[in-house]
Amino acid sequence: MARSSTENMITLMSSDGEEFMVTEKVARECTTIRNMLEDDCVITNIPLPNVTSDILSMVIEYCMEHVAAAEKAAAETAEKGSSSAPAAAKANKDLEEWDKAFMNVDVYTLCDLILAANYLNVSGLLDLTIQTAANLIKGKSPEQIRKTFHIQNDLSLEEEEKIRSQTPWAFEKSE
Amino acid sequence: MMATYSQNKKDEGDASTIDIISNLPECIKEMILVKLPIKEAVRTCVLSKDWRRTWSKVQYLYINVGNEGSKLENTIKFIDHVLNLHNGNVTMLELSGVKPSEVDFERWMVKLSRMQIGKLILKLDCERSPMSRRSCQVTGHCAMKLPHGFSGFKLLYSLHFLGTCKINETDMAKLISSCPLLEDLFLDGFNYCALKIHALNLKKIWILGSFGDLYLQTPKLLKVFIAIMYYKKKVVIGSNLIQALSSISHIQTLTIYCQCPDPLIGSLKAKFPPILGNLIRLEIFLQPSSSPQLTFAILLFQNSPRLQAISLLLQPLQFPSISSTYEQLESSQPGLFPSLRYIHIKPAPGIDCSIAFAKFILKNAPALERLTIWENVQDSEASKLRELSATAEIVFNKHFSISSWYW
Repeated sequence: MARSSTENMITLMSSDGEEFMVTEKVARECTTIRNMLEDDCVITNIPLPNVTSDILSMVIEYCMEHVAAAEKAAAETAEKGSSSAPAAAKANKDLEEWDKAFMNVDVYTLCDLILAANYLNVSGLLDLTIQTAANLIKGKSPEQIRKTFHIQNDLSLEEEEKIRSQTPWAFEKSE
Repeated sequence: MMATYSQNKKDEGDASTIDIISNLPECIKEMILVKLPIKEAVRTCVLSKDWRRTWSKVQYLYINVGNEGSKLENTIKFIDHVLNLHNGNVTMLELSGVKPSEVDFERWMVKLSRMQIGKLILKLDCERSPMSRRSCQVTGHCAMKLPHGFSGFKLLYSLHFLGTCKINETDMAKLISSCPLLEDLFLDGFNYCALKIHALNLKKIWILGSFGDLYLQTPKLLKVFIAIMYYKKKVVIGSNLIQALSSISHIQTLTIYCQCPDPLIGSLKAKFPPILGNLIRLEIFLQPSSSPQLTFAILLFQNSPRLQAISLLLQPLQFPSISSTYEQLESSQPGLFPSLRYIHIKPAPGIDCSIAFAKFILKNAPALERLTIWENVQDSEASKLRELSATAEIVFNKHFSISSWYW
């Protein structure tokens, strides 16, 4: 993709020492990095000790896709004078499809992405990953949820019975 | 360096022993639970000891238990359970989709007032008990009471009250005045003889309903939406609307909708309010062939010298017309809109006077930058309009989007 030569490049360094060159625009999708850049505008090398290279590369992929979609929408608006509603709706739908495919990951990667999105403060990615985790819980019995996320049940049978009996209305069949 | 879960998985080769989600920070687990229906969020309390209390600390509680097919009494008990066990601050609480009895309602109000709630949305319906049915016949909806000794919401800044379950008018006034930080008030579907609002920090108000008199003690009010509906029950509606506007003459944004012209007729007999000197934005729903409505609109324009943006929604007349003439418009003083920069005109289907309004405004608004008409206009008419103003951009838009109207 053609980039204007004046665009600043930022180097992000993962916890395992891998370096990622991204445009400042992409880096600014992370509010944490945006704040750093605004505090110190000459900074070009940012170490991210909480994010591993495989997770960081996914976060960057997400940011690049969303920046590109926003640029494309802005260019279309500028070209036609006003954005056409059907085209904008289609672009939104395409991006949603992309997000959905992007979330086709195992629960470990999902949890790492949540932590990274929270740390880097990428609100769109945080919403997406949190919603994906919620969807994995939704409609499941406690036993199924434990299995999905490998949760060790450390409650004894008696304890669990007691908790259930305190709030039977939460556990009644609602179908 | 922080080890990640996906790394652990690779390192150990066997992922099934690692409890990934329980080890997320509590605030993130809470974020996930907020996205679940409230019953499913509460059910996570049996997952493990770690999850026992996680749900009870979520800061956003959406208690919407309407379509789950449970018995009403079980739903009521479930809500009691949630309100009893939740601890910590609540940024926002929505309680909707359920029909409490008067006793339930009073008990919940006590519990809610003890929680540290920032924003409260109540969308409750009438329980069909004989008692409330009797009160429904009088006022058109239930009239709940506040519990004895109710002490108000000390941290509440936003209150939205919708649904058919309402508080009686005395207690509503008490409820509002017992929320000292209230900034945002939304009341929908009320049918009161008098609505009294004493809220010293209130900035934004949205009232939709039928009310006789409106009393506003709201020195910080900036944005106002008033929609006066006409219900079958005969109440003298909006009889002191003009006086009410005088008491909030410092507002910046006003939306006003009257379904029938009665309150305006009553109002026009009174002296028109002092100047609305800070009013920048006005949205007005107008039945163009109703003389009182037109007079009212012109008076509002005349008394708002700083008006920069107007949205004019032209409505078909639902009540007998008193006079149908534009002479009123033409006879009003020239240069009616000295500061006007933007105007939207949106006619309802079948209303054909938007061009007449557009011409009138173009002649009288020297600072106009853009006029938008939300309908198809013939090219010849469009070019005639463009001749009327050298500076203003004139836009015709077919696709009406409601989001451009409401703030």
